[in-house]
Amino acid sequence: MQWRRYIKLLLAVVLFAVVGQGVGCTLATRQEFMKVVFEDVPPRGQHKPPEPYVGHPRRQPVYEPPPPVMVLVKAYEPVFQYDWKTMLRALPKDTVGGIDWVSALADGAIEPRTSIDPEHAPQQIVLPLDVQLEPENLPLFKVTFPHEPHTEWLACDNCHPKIFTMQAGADPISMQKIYAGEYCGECHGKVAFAVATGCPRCHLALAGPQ
Amino acid sequence: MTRCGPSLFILVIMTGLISPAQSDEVLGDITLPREEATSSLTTPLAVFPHWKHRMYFKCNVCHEALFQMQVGADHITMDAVRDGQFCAVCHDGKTAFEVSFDTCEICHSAASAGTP
Repeated sequence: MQWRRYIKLLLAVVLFAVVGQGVGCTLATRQEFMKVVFEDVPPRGQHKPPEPYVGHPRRQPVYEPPPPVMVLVKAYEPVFQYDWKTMLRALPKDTVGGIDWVSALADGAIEPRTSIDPEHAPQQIVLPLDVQLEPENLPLFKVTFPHEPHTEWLACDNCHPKIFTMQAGADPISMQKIYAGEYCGECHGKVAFAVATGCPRCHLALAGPQ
Repeated sequence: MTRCGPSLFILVIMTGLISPAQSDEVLGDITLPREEATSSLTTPLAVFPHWKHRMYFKCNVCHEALFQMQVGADHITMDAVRDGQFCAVCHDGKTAFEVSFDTCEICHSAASAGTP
């Protein structure tokens, strides 16, 4: 019967507090009385309400926009800085207005490389060999084929032995075939000087007396 | 007036006010034909200017390790070029301008567009 004792004690305390409050005591005695139960109660009249807490003024909410998403875009740079028209005009021309590549190379107007990689460009092998090709009974139309300007540009295997066999007079070269794009006509008229207007450059005698 | 018409025309050409068509064409410019008939494709055909390349490279740099000396002999496609073959051996952004969407029209500049 332990809990009954506790209830009795609790009732006694409650009764004590209710009686102490309610019984007509003076203000001072009531105060003393209340001190038993409550801690440091200020006497009536001296009670000051606590000063209202004044905090900092409320901050204005600051909206920070999210940082812009950086997208790396390659700036468009004009890749073409070459003034081709001026460069074309500056190249030496032959008598009919075509580009004279041989003199362009000889004059140093252009400096074409011998390989893609400029660091390891091999020396161009130039062969100073003229081949005379004379059609039968037509000495005026004797052709002097100079290997030198051709090997300045080309390697041996560009022409030999696919286009020309390596034997003078072995190929049945004719002007008809050249016009049809065979032999010399593989390049001349396409990327080298035109066949129809370049007569004296091969048939040297047609140029007249030097 | 009818008599001096042709001479006036020649005079105008000589003064450079107008230029005859295809005056930009240089001997050796190759307009590469398109092999397949691609009806939807209207990209101009690619032009290979020999002379611009000859100013910087001798013939035997490209011929015949890269290109055969015959138009149409090589099966040049944009897929092969993007793979680094043919033109892209030099046109890789290091030796020459890169093959990209910024540079299409440098090569694809033929006056006649589209299908062969």
